[in-house]
Amino acid sequence: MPTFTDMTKCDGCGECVDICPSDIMHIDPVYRRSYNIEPNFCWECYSCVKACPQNAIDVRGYADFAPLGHKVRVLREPEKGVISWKIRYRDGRLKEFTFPIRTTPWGSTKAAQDDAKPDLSALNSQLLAHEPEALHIDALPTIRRA
Amino acid sequence: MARRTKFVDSDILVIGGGFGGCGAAYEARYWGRDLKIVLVEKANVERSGAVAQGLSAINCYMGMQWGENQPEDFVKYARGDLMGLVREDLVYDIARHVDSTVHKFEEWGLPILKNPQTGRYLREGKWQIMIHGESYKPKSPRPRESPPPRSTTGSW
Repeated sequence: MPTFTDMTKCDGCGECVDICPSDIMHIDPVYRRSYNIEPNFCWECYSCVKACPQNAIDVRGYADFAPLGHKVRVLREPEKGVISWKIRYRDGRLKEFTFPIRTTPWGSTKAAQDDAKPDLSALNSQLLAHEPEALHIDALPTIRRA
Repeated sequence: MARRTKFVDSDILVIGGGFGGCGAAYEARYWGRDLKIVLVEKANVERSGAVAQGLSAINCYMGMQWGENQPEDFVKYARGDLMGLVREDLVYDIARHVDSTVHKFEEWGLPILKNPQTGRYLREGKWQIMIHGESYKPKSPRPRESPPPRSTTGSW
C-alpha cells in the first residue's frame, strides 16, 4: 500500500523526506512537491502520513488486497498525547479510533547519563542498567549449576 | 552526486539505530559516562527500524513478578519453535532481562493495557502483552531528548 502525495496540498516542506525510514519520499526537483520514488519499497508505516503538516499524503491499497474506494486517515497529536484513526469503507461505513500514545509528558524520559552514576564494580555482575530494581523481583534469575 | 566521507572516532560504535541499537547505546552510556558513543543510522532515528510505525503488542514478556512465566519456560518455547536450532544461553539471557526493560518503558510513558481487577498486564497470547505503542520509538530515551515532532494540524 504505497504512499502518494496530493500535489495541491503539499508545500514541499520535506518533513516526509526527513522521517521516511526507507528514504523513498523525495522532493520532485521540477514541481517542488514530495513523491514516492519507489512504491514497491514502501513499508506502509505511515510515518510520513503522520508527519505531514499539510495532511497531503495518503496510502493507497493494492487493488487485490484492499478494494478501491476505501480511505484510512490518521491524525497524530503529540501535544495531546493521542492518535486518531478514521477508516472509511467502500460501502460508506466509517470507523473511528482514538488511542493514547504516551502517559508522560514529552521530554520527561531521562537520558542514561541523567541517572545516578552506577557503581562500576557492578559491570562485573550479570545485571543490566536499572537491575535488579526494575525487574520487580528480588534477584536476576540465574541457572543453577548441577 | 558527489559523496563526501566523514571520519568519526568513537570508543563504542553502534551500527543501526533501531530499537536494538538504541538499547545498546543507552546501556553503553549508562555504564560509560565518559565514553564517546556513536550511533550510526541511515534514516531518522525517530522512526527508523522495524518498529517505525509503532506496535500494538510487546511479543515477549515473562511476567516474573506475578509468576506467570520463567526464563526456562521461554527457552523451552523458543527451542520448540525453532526446531532446536537456538543458542539456549542467549535465549535465556534475553528472557531474564526483558521484564526490566518493559517496566522501564512503562515508567517512561508507554501505555500498557491492564486488567482492572488484577492490575496485571493484559495478554493476547502466552508471551504477548497489549500496548498502545504508536510512539514506542519516539518516546524512548535519547542522549538529550529533542522536542516533540511537529504536530499535524488541519482537517481530515
